[in-house]
Amino acid sequence: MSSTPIRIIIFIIVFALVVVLPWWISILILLALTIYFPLYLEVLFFGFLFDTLYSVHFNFPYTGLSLTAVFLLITIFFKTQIRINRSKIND
Amino acid sequence: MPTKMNYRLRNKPKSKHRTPLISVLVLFVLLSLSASFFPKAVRTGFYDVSRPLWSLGRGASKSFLNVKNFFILKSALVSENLSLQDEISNLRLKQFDYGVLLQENQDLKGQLGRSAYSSRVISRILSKPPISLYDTFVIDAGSSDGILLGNKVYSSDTIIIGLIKEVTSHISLVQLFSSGNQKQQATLLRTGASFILEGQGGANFKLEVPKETDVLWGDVFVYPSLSSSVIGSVYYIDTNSQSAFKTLYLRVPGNVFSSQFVFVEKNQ
Repeated sequence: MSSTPIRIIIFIIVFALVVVLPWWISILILLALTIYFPLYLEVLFFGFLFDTLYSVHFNFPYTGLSLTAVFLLITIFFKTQIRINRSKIND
Repeated sequence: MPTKMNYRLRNKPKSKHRTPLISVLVLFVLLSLSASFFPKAVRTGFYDVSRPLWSLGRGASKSFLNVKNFFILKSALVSENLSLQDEISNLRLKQFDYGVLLQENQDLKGQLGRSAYSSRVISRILSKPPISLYDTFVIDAGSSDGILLGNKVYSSDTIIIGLIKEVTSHISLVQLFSSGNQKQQATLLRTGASFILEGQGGANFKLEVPKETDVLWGDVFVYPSLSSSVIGSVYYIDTNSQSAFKTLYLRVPGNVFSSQFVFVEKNQ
């Protein structure tokens, strides 16, 4: 099974969990998925979902969206560093 | 004179971060723009999708509680039943007193030319902390039920908890007075002095006043309006001998987060 259908199924499940579960559990799930997938762009959508559903100050800078973007960028940077180091070790 | 030219190597690696960075940036901008240009449509869309999920989640947690309650000991149930019966009889007496006093209060206000009567809409809480990250309630009443921005929200007849901050046709967002860093003016019921309470999240408030200010444990702070609606009561006073100030900690009476319904006061 290719990765796209899996990502779509996970997206639907995570959407339901983010809406229903306490925020701290949702955040843990999103952290795990961001680290697991190579580029988990969906996390931005879920940050945006938090803002849309619950935030009163729905204007720039959107708290949830900004935080997830920063976290995603940090993860991308660190993941690349880890892979480079791994390849060096293998050499 | 020969010139030296530098050519870019064919196998020189491009920045590994470029594509992901661009993707993140593009998505960020798209989502931000959609929220800026169509805030109402975005909110309504998300609320419509989330509403059945909230109902489903409430049903699931109810059935989980039923399973948990199945294993409670009979003796514990009997003793709890007895204590609850005592509490009910006490509350009935208090309710009777309350009804008489309320009627008297409204009659007096009527004689003075001010009516405190207002119509309220009962509304189910769809989502609340800890699901909500921002100390807000999502309720199932909106503009189609006559709710407007700034309407007051009560957890009981006299306990006010917040204001309506966003309205869609069938759903509204309530910001609690106790939201972090939210400032709310309140009057001390016993003395009539006005203060500004600072929200601390989780139905808690903080207030710093000079040491000599007349505030006691259990004092009640009310919303400044004709009909006194309770915002919170003092449950702890932190007095430091080194400081000229004392810090008061207040809490909304009752457990706001365990209630399933709220009442929204409609404008007359």
